[in-house]
Amino acid sequence: MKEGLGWFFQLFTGLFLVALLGVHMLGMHMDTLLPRFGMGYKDPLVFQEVLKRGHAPLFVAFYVVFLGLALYHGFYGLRAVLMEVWASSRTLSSINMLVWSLGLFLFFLGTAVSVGFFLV
Amino acid sequence: MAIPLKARPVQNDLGIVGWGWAGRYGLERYLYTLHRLTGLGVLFYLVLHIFATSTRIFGEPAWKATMGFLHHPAFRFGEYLVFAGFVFHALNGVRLIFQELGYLLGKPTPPVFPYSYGLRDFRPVAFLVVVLAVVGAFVAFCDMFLV
Amino acid sequence: MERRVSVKVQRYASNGLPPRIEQYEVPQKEGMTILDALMFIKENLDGSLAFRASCRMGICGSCAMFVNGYPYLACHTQIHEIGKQELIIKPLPNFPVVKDLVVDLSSLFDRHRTVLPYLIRSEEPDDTRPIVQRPDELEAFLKFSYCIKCGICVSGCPTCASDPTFLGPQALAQAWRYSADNRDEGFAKRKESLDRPHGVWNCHLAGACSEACPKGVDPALGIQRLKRALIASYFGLFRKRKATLGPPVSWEAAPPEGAPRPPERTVTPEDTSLSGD
Ligand code: HEM
Ligand code: HEM
Ligand code: SF4
Ligand code: FES
Repeated sequence: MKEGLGWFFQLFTGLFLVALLGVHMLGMHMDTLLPRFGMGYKDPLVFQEVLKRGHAPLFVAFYVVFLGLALYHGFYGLRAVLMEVWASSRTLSSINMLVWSLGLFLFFLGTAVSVGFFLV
Repeated sequence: MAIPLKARPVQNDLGIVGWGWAGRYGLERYLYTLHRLTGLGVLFYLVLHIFATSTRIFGEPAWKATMGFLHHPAFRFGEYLVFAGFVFHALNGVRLIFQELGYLLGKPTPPVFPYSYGLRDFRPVAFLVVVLAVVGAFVAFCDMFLV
Repeated sequence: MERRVSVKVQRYASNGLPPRIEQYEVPQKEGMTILDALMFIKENLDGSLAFRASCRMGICGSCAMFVNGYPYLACHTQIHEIGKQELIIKPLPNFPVVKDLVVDLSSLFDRHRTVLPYLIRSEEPDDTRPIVQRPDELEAFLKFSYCIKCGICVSGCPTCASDPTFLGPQALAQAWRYSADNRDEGFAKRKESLDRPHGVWNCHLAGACSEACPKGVDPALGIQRLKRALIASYFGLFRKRKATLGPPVSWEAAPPEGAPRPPERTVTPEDTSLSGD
């Protein structure tokens, strides 16, 4: 694959993460100030709320896309960092393997949880 | 022509320490360091986060146990750091998306002394990133610990 | 009263002993450069001190060194600019030290060569048809062509600090200097060395290169433009206006009244044996 396409996709995912992670963080984390202005959740982390979101198809789709983009972006960044620490073509293939296997594992885990939670 | 793998002996190289300090440089040099730190920090959080939130599939008791465990002040503070790190990384990331594609850096200026360079001509943008990140981190601090 | 400056120099002899700091007292004259101080030490105090310098006017790129925590050209920097009565001089970081302040720049030149730093054209040059460039087409690359290969940008670059196979700001800026030139047609060839692991994508815009460059080259700007051009080329969007050939010049006929004369011919067609070396 062209090296630059992977890099460009990292920037591209970054742009999307601003919106996706922005919404996620404001909703999940800013749970004191936002409700005062009539926005966000009051208690986003109680199980009833988690259950409600988990059974909304839009939320499930959101999480799977978000998960994939965040993992790609983060692990591509980790790959760049690692290849600047251990710089040689031999270590590069090990780094690629490590990053891909970890990333894919976490992607399947997160997807299984989101989809599984939706189905139960 | 490919470069030989170890193109030079690494004696006198600054190594990883050089990511943090290589001389008395200006603002952007340290934004680079911070961007890398926050990116790796948020990634580390994401990995733990995927495991932690996956307990919801085991039902309410497991979820409550996890949330109870994460209620410890140390984790609360960690969560705050993740938020502050994310705010900085996102804002600085937007700047980098533009500038790493050659925008918001201006045109090559004529090489006339005293020299100028694109990053310094657009330093207000970097400055804005810092100010907004500080404001964001402050608001989150109020949200979490004061209000 | 005579002003004196205390100069601490890192000494190292490639003999297995660790580097040590040696201190010298130098009388400071008005306008004295760091290089002048080192010359004074070598001539009057310690002939064994090793450093590199040649042009002493910021042109040859030999005398880059790390002074009080920042890289400077020693010949291009007056002591009063540092603003201290104590100078701590070390060899340029990110290059192996040969002796004292002499570093081995061969890795810089090697990486410079890999980006094909010269104009690549598909046709044979025709010396009766000069290439015409507009002023804006000149300015697109002029700044980057001022590089003197001193290595200062590499010494500040965080990627170069830990990754010896990274091309580095000097080579990458030169890749753009030629690719931005609309006489050049070699971008596709250069891509091979740029668009690969440890190529252009390991630049993360820390900007130290542009900040420290003593010639105002602004490598960071060139590198980001290079990234944009590479990405654009994936989508067939990298274009530059093709350089046009001017009207034929005649070497023999007298030019019309008031027109500038073409440059005098220095090599006649019979001398073509001289063109190769
Ligand atoms: C620090 C504050 C954060 C809180 C309180 C929080 C909370 C949560 C909760 C409760 C869930 C479960 C799903 C739901 O209840 O709807 C979740 C899922 C998720 N979060 Fe966060 N989160 C935070 C930060 C982050 C960050 C920084 C990232 C990205 C780097 C992230 C990425 C995700 C992803 C990808 C999922 C879906 C996981 C899956 O598919 O199983 N979160 N978050
Ligand atoms: C919120 C929106 C985000 C934006 C706009 C963004 C933007 C960027 C940009 C532009 C880069 C620089 C790429 C380069 O220099 O080559 C980067 C690097 C990186 N990002 Fe993000 N990012 C975001 C979120 C995240 C998240 C959620 C994570 C973690 C999961 C993350 C982890 C990283 C890492 C590890 C790097 C590599 C750092 C380096 O090479 O120095 N980023 N990001
Ligand atoms: S770009 Fe500037 S700092 Fe780098 S080698 Fe050329 S002249 Fe020196
Ligand atoms: S001696 Fe030539 S650049 Fe300093």
